[in-house]
Amino acid sequence: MTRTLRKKLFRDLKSNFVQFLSIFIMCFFAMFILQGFDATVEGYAVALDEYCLETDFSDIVTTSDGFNTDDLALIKSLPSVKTAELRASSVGKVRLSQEKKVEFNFINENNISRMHLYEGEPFEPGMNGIWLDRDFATAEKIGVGDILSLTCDNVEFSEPVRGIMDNPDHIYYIVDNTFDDVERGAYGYAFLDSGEYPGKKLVFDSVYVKLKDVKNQYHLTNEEKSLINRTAEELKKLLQKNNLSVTTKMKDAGYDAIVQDIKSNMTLERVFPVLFITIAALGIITTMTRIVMKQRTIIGTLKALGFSEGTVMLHYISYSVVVSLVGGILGAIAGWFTLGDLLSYFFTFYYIFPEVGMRVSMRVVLVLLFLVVLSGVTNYLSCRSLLTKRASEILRPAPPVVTGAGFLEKTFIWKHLDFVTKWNIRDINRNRLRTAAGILGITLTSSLTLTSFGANELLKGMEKWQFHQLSPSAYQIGFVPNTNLDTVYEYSKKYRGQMIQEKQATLSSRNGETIQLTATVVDEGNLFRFQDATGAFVKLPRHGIAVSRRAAESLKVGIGDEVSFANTDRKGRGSGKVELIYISPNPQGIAMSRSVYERMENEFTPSTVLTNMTVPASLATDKEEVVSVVSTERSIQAMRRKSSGTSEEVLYTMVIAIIVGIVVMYNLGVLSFVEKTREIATLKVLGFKTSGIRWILQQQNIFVTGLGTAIGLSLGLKMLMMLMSSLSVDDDYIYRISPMSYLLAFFLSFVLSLIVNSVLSSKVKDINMVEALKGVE
Amino acid sequence: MANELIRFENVGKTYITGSVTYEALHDVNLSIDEGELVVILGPSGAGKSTLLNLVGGLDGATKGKILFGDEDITTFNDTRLGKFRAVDVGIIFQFYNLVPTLTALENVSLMRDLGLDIMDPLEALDMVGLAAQKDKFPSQMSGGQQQRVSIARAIAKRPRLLLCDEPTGALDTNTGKEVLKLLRDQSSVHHRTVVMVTHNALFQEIADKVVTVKNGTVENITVNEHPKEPEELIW
Repeated sequence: MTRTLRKKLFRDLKSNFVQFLSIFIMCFFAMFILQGFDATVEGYAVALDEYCLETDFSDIVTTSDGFNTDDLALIKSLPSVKTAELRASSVGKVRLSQEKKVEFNFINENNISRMHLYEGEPFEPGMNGIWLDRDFATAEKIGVGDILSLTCDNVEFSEPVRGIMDNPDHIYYIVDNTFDDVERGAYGYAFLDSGEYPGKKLVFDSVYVKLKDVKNQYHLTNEEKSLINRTAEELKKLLQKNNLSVTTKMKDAGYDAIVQDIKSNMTLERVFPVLFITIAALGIITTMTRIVMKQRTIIGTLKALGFSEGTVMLHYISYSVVVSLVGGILGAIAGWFTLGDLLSYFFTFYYIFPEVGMRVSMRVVLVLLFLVVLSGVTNYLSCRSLLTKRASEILRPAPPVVTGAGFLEKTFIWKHLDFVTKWNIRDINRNRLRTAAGILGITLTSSLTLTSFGANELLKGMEKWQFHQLSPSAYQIGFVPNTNLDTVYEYSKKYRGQMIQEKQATLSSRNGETIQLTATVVDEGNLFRFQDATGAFVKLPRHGIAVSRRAAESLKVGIGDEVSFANTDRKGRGSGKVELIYISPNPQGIAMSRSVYERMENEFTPSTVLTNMTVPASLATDKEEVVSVVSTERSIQAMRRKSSGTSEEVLYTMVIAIIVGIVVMYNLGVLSFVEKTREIATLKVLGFKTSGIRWILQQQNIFVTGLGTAIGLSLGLKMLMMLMSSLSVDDDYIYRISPMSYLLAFFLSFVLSLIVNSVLSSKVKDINMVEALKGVE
Repeated sequence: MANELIRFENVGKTYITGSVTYEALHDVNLSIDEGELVVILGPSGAGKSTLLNLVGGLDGATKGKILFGDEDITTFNDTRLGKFRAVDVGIIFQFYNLVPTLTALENVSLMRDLGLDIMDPLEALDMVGLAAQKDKFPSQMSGGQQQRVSIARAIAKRPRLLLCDEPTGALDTNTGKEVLKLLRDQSSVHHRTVVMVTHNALFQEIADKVVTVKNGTVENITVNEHPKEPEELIW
């Protein structure tokens, strides 16, 4: 574009500031949200991939009561297996200023899921010493060379710290299953050579397997996934072991959790930008069509002066291209430093990586390019009809467009309508696109506002729901896996508690759906309750199985269908009819009474006891069978911390919704007002009062805003469900939005629009009738 | 004898809008010499502006030939027509048609953006007596000043043909005379062909040739042996 036309471009942008600001803001927020989510998603995806590639993260882990070298040889003999190695894990203690829990991993070699060493010496078979995880070492100020006093399997021993490391099996690390709260550095994990085991006989409880033809980690191909699954099935058949469990890479707790988080963030990364880009495109059409119409004479003159059609076309296309490009780039930068930083920060609560940072992905570049191209194409389509005409034709004034009220004008109602209504109906019909853009903008604002209010209510309600309604206990005592029933029963009796068994299980339905979720078995008591989909408290079925709502959705089952389960530790399996669909915030899966479970010839092995009596925290360190004592207060704090990230996202959504709403309303208001200036001046000349004219403008606005708000509010609940289910795949909520939230969302969109329109229509009194009616152009 | 610059041979122009056909011009035969000041007169709707649009390549004829020098511009495609307008034609509009977001100097400099070797824009403004107003936007200038900027814009590229569509139509008498003087000078001093469309019959007195258009065709062509100076006009 030429220099002078460039000047014209920037001055035109300035003189149509509000219209272009609206397009700018839509593009800004589209890229803001996209980049915010994408930077984190891409950062963690790359970190996961690099970390797993660097350390040769295992493809399959199989656990049982015990493996020996013969088992290892058997596994290695499988044609698809590249290598395998034994590992023994045990939760023990380290004596520091106070005792802390540490998971000891005894190994013969470390070629699969290798340690990532930060300092110290690399592991060599036969070496003494301990390799400790970085978070724990940092929290406890432990360094290489320190001698640690340890306890494992009731035997005390000491080891020098050989290295500070992290390990890909511990990307998401909870010391045992009774903890549901990741507290980085509060408990540790460590590696030692198997020769350093202080007890009598080391039992290897897991085998780590690496396959030949699996080269990728995060970007697993379908062939690689099916090879892993096939080999896992082969291993199940090959190894006839007690409590055998075979876990593929895809089902690994850490790997799966972060992959699911990445996926859910990617959903949000797509949905919101699509909405904003759509409104931006509508904004471009309405704005550019009007600017080109307004500059009809200038366009004709430029063509008459000899400017080619291409030059003139390029000049006008560049308006929206420049605005969307600048808006998109600035939005991406702002998204990176604010939303991206925030999301990244929340990821660090849960996931442990040697190095992780936000990254720019090709997705962002492609979407930015798409945005700019879409903006240019939309602009081209809006302007081409005028720009492609001959100079002489463009220089002639445009013939007036004759548009009535359509079919309405032919009905008997038309005759009974007053002047104001007729005027507005015709105006809406003449400016259908502007009206559509207005309705869409207000719909987005009201639905987003309602969604954010609803989400806020939901998160606040979760605490009450989970800890006061469903599980109103004061303490939860966690037990070492497979602690016998009599032992747990003693605690249950002492603390007047209720015994619960929670295990990972493979759930299947008759229609072939299979998922891995939690199978909960509940003993008699009133500290673990259930609610049906309406929120009413219900008892577990006396004969059948209860399925959580989200699990039922995944399994595609309903009341009366049959489901089967198989605990991953191979202790417990069965099937039964679904007799209840219950709602539960977490975990999702199936639940049944102890009697139903035992009727299936399973042994009840409770993992926790819930109680309302005070339980001393020292039980966890003093008693070998107790692994944790968690107070409800602590669980509430963990939940608050977990939901604080979502709350921040909700706050962002609300602020963006309000800004978008104000900008859309103001922009369309200005456009509409400018277009009507001559008509308003005519009405003033004819003697209409200012208040009467303002009412004409307000009436149309009430219709547009009212319709947009009504659609938005009706979509709000659906959007809330989509947002919350995307944010957390394992959680369920009672999706209810209070009348107060509806009222606030209504106020923010509808009333705000009336205010914006009132501000604009107040300019009616300032319209200079003589000036406004001068000349056609 | 002066060289012929433009020749119309049986030119016709018909507009078709939907089912309505309107013959704006028919059987126009006309010759305009180089350096001549030609006034095209006629009542509203006679076809004056259509004639001007055809000469300037702003529109295409539906019949006949329009020769500019040796070339028939009715055979030009849009690109060639655009180049023709850019290089050979300067246009002055009744309502000036300046770009409102550009200053006086920038409006003239716009011609340089066409890639042409134009005169210094400030010099062009100086020729119309507006060098001091170079940084003003159109909205800050009077109608006469805006028209002079429009003339500066047209002459800056030293076109062979200046087309003026009612150039004084929006101006008062004195300003109108100043503009006419500038246009007259373009013809008499700079030997540029000036074709002016007007409905004001008085202007025929300053013309070298007067073409009267009526009902879409040339009714009369008069050669004025002793054209008056614009200052001598009284209206």
